[in-house]
Amino acid sequence: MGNEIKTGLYLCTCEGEIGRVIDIDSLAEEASGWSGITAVHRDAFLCSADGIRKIREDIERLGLDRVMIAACSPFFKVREFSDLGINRYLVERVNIREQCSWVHRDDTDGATRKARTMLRVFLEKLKNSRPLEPVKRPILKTALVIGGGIAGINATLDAAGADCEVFLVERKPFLGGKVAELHNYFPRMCPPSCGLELMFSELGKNRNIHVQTLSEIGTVTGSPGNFEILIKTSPRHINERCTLCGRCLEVCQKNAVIYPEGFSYPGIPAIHRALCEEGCRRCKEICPAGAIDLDEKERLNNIKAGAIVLSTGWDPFDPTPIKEFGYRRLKNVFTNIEFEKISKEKKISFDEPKRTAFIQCVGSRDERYLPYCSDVCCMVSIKQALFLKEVNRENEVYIFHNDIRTPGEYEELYQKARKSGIIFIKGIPSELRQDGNKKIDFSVFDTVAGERLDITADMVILAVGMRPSNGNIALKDKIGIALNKNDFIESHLQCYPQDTQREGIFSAGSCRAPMDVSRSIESAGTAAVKALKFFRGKVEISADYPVVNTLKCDVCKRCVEECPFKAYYFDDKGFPKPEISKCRSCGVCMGSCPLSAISLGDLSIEQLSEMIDALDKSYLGNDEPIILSFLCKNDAYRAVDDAGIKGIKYPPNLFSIMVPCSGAVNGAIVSKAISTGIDGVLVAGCPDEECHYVHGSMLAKTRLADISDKLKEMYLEPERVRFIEISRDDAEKFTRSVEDYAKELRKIGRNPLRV
Amino acid sequence: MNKALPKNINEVEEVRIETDLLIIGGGNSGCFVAIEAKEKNPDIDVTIMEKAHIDRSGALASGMDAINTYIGEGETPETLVAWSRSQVGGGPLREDLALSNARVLNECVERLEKWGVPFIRDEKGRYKRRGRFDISIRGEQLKPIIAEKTKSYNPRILNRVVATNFLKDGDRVIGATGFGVRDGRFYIIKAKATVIATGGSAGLYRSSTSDGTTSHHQMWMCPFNVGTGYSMGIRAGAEFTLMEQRWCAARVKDFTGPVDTISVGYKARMINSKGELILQERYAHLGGDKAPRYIRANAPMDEWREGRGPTFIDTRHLSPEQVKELKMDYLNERPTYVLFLAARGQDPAVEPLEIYGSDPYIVGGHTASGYWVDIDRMTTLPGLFAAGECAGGMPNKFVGGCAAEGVLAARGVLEYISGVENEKFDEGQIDAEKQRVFSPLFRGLGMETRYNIPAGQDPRWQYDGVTPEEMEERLQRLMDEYAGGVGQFFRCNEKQLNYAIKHIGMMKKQVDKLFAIDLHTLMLVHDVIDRLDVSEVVVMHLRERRETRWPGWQTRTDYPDIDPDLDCFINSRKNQKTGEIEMIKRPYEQILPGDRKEAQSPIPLSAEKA
Amino acid sequence: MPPYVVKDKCDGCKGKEEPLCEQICIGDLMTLDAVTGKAYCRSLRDCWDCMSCTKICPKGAIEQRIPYQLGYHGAKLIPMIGPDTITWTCVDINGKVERFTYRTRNKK
Repeated sequence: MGNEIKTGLYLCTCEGEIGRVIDIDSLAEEASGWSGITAVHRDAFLCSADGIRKIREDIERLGLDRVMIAACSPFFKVREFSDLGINRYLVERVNIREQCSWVHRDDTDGATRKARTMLRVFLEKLKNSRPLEPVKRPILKTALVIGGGIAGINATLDAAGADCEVFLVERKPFLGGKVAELHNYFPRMCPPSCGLELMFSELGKNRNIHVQTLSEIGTVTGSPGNFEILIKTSPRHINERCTLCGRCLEVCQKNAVIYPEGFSYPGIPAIHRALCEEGCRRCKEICPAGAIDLDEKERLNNIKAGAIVLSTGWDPFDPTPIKEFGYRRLKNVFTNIEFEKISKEKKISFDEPKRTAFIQCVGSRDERYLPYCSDVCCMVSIKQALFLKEVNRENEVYIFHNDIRTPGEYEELYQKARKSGIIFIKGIPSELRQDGNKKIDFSVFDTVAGERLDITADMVILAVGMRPSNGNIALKDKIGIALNKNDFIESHLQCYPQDTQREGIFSAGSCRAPMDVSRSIESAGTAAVKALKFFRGKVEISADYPVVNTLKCDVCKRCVEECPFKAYYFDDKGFPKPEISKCRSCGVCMGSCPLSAISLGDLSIEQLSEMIDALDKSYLGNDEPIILSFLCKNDAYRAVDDAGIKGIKYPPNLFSIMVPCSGAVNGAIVSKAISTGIDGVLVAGCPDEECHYVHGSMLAKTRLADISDKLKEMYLEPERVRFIEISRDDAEKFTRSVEDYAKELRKIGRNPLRV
Repeated sequence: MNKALPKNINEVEEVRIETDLLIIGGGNSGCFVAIEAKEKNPDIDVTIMEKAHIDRSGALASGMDAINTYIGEGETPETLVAWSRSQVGGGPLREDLALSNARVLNECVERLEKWGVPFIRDEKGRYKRRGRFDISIRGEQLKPIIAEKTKSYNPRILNRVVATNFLKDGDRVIGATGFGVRDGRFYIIKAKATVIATGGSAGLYRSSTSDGTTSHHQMWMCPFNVGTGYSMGIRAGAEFTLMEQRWCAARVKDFTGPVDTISVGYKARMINSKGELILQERYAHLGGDKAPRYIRANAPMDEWREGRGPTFIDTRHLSPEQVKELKMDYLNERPTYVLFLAARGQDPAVEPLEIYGSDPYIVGGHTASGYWVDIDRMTTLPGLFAAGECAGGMPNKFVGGCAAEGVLAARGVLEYISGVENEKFDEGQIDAEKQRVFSPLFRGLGMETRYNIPAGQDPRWQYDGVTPEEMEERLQRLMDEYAGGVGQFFRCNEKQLNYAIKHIGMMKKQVDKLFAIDLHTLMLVHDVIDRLDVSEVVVMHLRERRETRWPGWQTRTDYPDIDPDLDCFINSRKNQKTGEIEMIKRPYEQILPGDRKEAQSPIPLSAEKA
Repeated sequence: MPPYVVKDKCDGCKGKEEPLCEQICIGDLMTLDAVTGKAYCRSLRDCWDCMSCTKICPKGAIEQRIPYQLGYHGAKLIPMIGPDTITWTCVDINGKVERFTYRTRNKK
C-alpha cells in the first residue's frame, strides 16, 4: 500500500473553537503537498449535513480510499461520522479540539505545530490501515443449565417456556438441590414440595427440556453462541421400568438404594454402587420389573449449546473449625440445615418444653471464614424459632446475634417472632460447655443491656452461612469462569449481575452470591431473559481482534499467559491464536509479545512504529521536551478529553496516541520512542482494580518498570518512561502530571538519542 | 526444559518423515535452498533439519555488517571470479562453479534488501561499497529476516534436531537421521533429494584465546558449526576437495573477531612493533594491501615468529565519526567486539588494534574446501547436494555467494527429483545408527559406583569414560601442535602430520568411551566425533600436499616452495569397504584466460558460455 | 563469552517449557532451572557471544560479559530493541558512555 493511498483531509474550524487557536489555513496549504493526501477541505461545521455530504461526495468523485477528519474527539459526533460510505477502519479522527485547541489556547503557535504533527503521524497510521469487517457468527438457540437446584430449574422452565431448547444437568440423582431438603421456606412457610412438585410436572411436560441427572460437565469447547460441552453421566442402575415397589430397598443391607421422596424428579431410585456388598445382586434378582442393571457403565455425550446458565448453588459452612461452639463434639448442637431435617422429620419430640438457643453468623461476617453476610441465616433462624413456638408454645427460644437483618417485608416475620416471645439478644456466646448431662451451658455478654448472662439450653442451633459449592471451582477450570475472592462467580454485581465475565455464560442463584429461595427464583428468571436476549442476536466480533504473525512468533506463550480472557489457543501448527469470540481486543497480547509479533487489526505494531518515525521530535523546537503518551481508551483518553471540555490547560509538549488498554503498549514501541528521541513516554491506564481488562494496567506497569531499569543501565534517566493511573474523572490529575512531567524533563535535559 | 531422558534404546521414540527435499542446516544457504525450491515448485514438500533455531542459527546468528561479494558498477561475473582466483593465489579453484555462482549472485543479494535488510547506499543511491566487491549493510536482523521469509513458504522446520548420518541405498543418499536435542527422539527422514548445508567446521584447532573456563569459544567462526556436514559425507564415502586449504586469518588479537571491517572498510594498514607497514614493506611483490588473503593472514604471524611482534592494524588515522561508524559495523556482526574495546578502555583512534592469527577453520564458503560437486551442486553421491560452506571447489563465496549456492543447489534438486521415487530404507542401517547415536547416553547407567559422587547427581556421571569436552580439548591441542595451528605459526611437516594421524586414530578408537549425561552433552559427544572425522581428512590432505602453496593456510616447513606438479585439486574419499581415506588428484581447468594470480579485469566470457 | 542472567529480572518467560533465550541460543546453552524457574547458561565457556539471548530477552535480564582473561571488569554493552530499530549503549571501564541507534529493518 505504502504511499499510494488517496486521503481526503477534512479540517474543521468548529466555528472558531479550533480555528481561533490553530492556524487551519496554513495547515491545509501545507498538507495539500504531502504524499498520500489527495484532497484537503476546510469547514467551519464539518459535522453538519453539508459537511458530511461533502466528505461523501469527495470519496465518490475523487476515489478517496482514506479519510482523515481533524476535528473534535473521536468520542464526539460518533453517529455523524459513522456512515461516510467508506469502511470505518479507513477513517481516522484526529482530535485537534479537545486535545489541542482547547487545551493549548494560549499557545497558538505550539498548538498549530502540534496539530501539524498530529496530522503527519495519523496520516502515517492511515497508510497502513486496512478495511476490516466484523465477523458474524450465528448463535445456537439452545441453552445448557448446569445445576438442578431451585435456580437451575426455574431458569430451565423460563427459557424453555419461551420456546428454547434447554438441557439441564444435575450432579445428584435427583433435582431440587438444597431446597428439596428444607422443611419449609419463608416467608409463606410452604413446604418445598408444593412449589417443586409443580415445577417438576412442568419439566416433565415440556418437550424442549432434557434433564440429565447424575451428570457432570467434562470439557467445554467452542465459543459463545456455539459451545460444545461433554457430559459425563454416572450409571443410575435402575431404569424407567421401575414401579417403585420398594423391594430393592428392603433387600439391600448396605443402604445403597437411594430412594426418591414423594415428589422427586426423576421418580426413579438410584443405586450407589460403591456402597454395595461385593458380589451382591439381591436387588436385581428380586426386582419384578427387571429395571435393575448393576453393570451399567458411565456414559459420555456431547451437548451443543449457544448459551450456558450456571446455577451450581451453595454448600453450608461447616462449623467444626470454630472450636468454641463444639459442633460434632457436644450433643444437641446442630446446624440450621440439620434442624431443617429434624423439624421436617419430627425427629425430636417437643412434648416437653425445651430451651433452644440460636447462634447467628456462624462462619459469616468473619474474616477467618466467610467475610460476607450469608443473607438468609437471620430469616432461617426466625423461621425455625417460630416453628419451635408453634409446636409447643412453652418452648423457650433465644436468638443470639450481631444484628438481625430482615429487609423489606421480612420485617413482618421479625415482628411476629418478637410478639411470639422469642428472645433476641445482641451478643454471641463465647464458649459452649456440656457437663455430663445433655444440657449446654454458656455465657454471653448482652451488649445492649450491658450485662453478662449465664444460660443453660437444651439445644443449640448454629446458624451457619452459605459458601459457594465446589462446583464453582470446577467451573473455573473447565469454562474459565472468573470467581471473586470468595469463590462466588464474578460478575458486575451492580449493573450486570447475571453476566459472567465470559460472553454467553450467565449465572443464577447462590453460585453468584448468597440468596434466599425467592431471590434465587428471580435471578433465574433474569438469567433466562439474558440468555434469550443473547439468542436473538448474532455473535458479532469486532474486526479489530489481534493477529499473530507466525513468521515472527517463537511460541514463548507469553500472550497465552497474559491474555486476561484466556482467549488464546494453539492452532494446528502449534502457534498461539486468539479465539476471537472470547477476545475483547484489549491488545494485552500485543503489549506482551517479546517479538512484536502480535498486532491489533486497527492498530498494528508496524503502524505504531511508523507513527513514531513520523513524529517530528522537534516540533516544538530543539529545546522543548516531547512527551509521547499512550492513553487507555476507556478512561484516560476520556479524562484527557475532559480536560479540554473543562478548559484546563496543559503544555503542547504532550502528544497522545489512544490505545485500547495501557496493557497494549509493547515494550519495543516504548523502546523505539526513546531510541528515536522522544524525551518522555507516559502511559496512562486505569488504577489496577479498575482496569477493564483485568490486569492490563498491572502488566503495563511491570513492563515500564523493566524499561526504566534498562534506561538506568543505559545511563539514561529512568524517569523517561512513566506509568500514571488515570480514572475517568482524573482530568485535573492528568494535566497536573503532564505539567510536572514536562518540567521534570526540562530539568533532566534533552534525550541524548534525539538526532 | 528437556523431557525425561530415555533409559535404554527401546525407550527412544522414533519420528519418521517422508519428504521430497531434506535440507540439513537452516542457516543462510539452507534457507535459500528452501525458498528457491518452494518458489519454483510450490508443491514440493520441504523439510529443514536445524541443529539450533532457524531464527538465529548458523554463522549469521549475531548479524552481518557487509555482503562481501556483490558485482557493482564496472564489474562483471568474470572480474569477480578473476579477483577471487587471485585471492587464492591463482587457485586451483572450480571456475565453472564460481562463474555460475557469480551469474546469480546479485539477484540473491538484492532479495535480502527487498525482504527488509537495510543496505547502506551512497549519495547516488547505489549500494555503498567498502571494497571492490564489498557492500555495507545493517545486518543485525539479517538471519531473522531470512528465517521469516523461509517460514512464509511453510516448509517443515525441525528445530533442535542434530543430523547424524545419511541414509543410503547403495551409493545413493535417500535421506538422513538425526536426534532431537530437546525431545530426545530419533528422526528418520526419507527424502528424494538431500541438501547438506551445515556450514563449515570450527573448533578443530585450539584458538589462541581458548581458555577452559569462560572463553573456550572466543573464536571467529561459529563454534557450533562443527563440521557435521563434512563428517557425514566423509563417513558416507563422498569425495572431498582441498580440505588442506584451511581458512586462517588475521583477527583482532584476544578477541579473534573479524578484521576486514577495519582493514578493508577503513583502509587501516598492518604494522609491526617497529611501526613498519608489513604488507607494503615485505609483501609488495605479492600486491601489498591487495595481497592474497592467505598472505594477509600469515604476515602478522611471521612478524611474531621473527620477533617483530606485536602486530597491529593502524587505526590511528580514523576520525571520531569513523570510529563510531566502525563500531556500528561491529555491532551488526560481532557486537561484543565493541564491548571488548570497552573492556580494554581502548580508543582505536588513539591506540592501534592488535592483530594475531586465528585458529584454522575448514570453511568452504571462504576457502575452497568441501564436497566435490558437479555444476548442479550434486556431490559424488547421487541424491546428495551441497550448498554454502559445505560445497567445495569455490572460495570467497561469503554471505552472498552462499545464498547463491543455495539457489543453485535448489535448482539442481528440482531437476533431479522429477524422476525419482522414495526408496525403501534398510532397517538394519537405521537400527545401527540409532544405537551409535544414543549409546553414549546409556553408558553410565546400571554401573557400579566407582567414584564418590555427590548425592543427587545423575548416575550417568559414574561412567569411567571420557567427557566430550576432554576429547575436544585433546583434539584441539593435537591439531594446534601437530597440524599447523596458530600456536605453530600455521606450520607443519610430514613427521608432525604423521603424529597427528596416529593420535587421531587413537582417539577414534576411544569414541566408545564418550558418555553423555543429558541430551546437550549427547550433542557435544557427536560434535567431537564429527570433528575427529573432519580432522583426520584435513591432516591427510595437509600431508598429501607436499609443497607450500598458500603460506599460512597451508605451510609445509619440509616443502617450503610451490610444486608445479601439484597445481591440481587434492581430493579424498573414504573407501566404504576398507574404511581407508583414499587420496585422489584431479586436474585444474582454467576457464577465464589470463594470469591466474592477477585480479585485473579479463574479457567477459558471458555470452558463449551460457 | 558468558551471558549472565539477572535473577530478579528473569521471569523464566512465565515458566513455560522453553524461555526465549533457550529457544534462540545457537549453542543450546541457555536453559531453565527447574527449581527456580529462571534461565541460566549451562556452560559459560561454550558461549559464542552472539548476544541473541540478550537481544530477545523481554525482561532485559541478560547481560553479556567479556571473559576476564581477555578484557577487564566493568564494561557493559546493552541493546534496546524496537520493532525495527536497535539502540546500543556501551560503557567502557572508565565509565565512558557511547550510544548507537539505527534501523534494523527497512520500512515496509
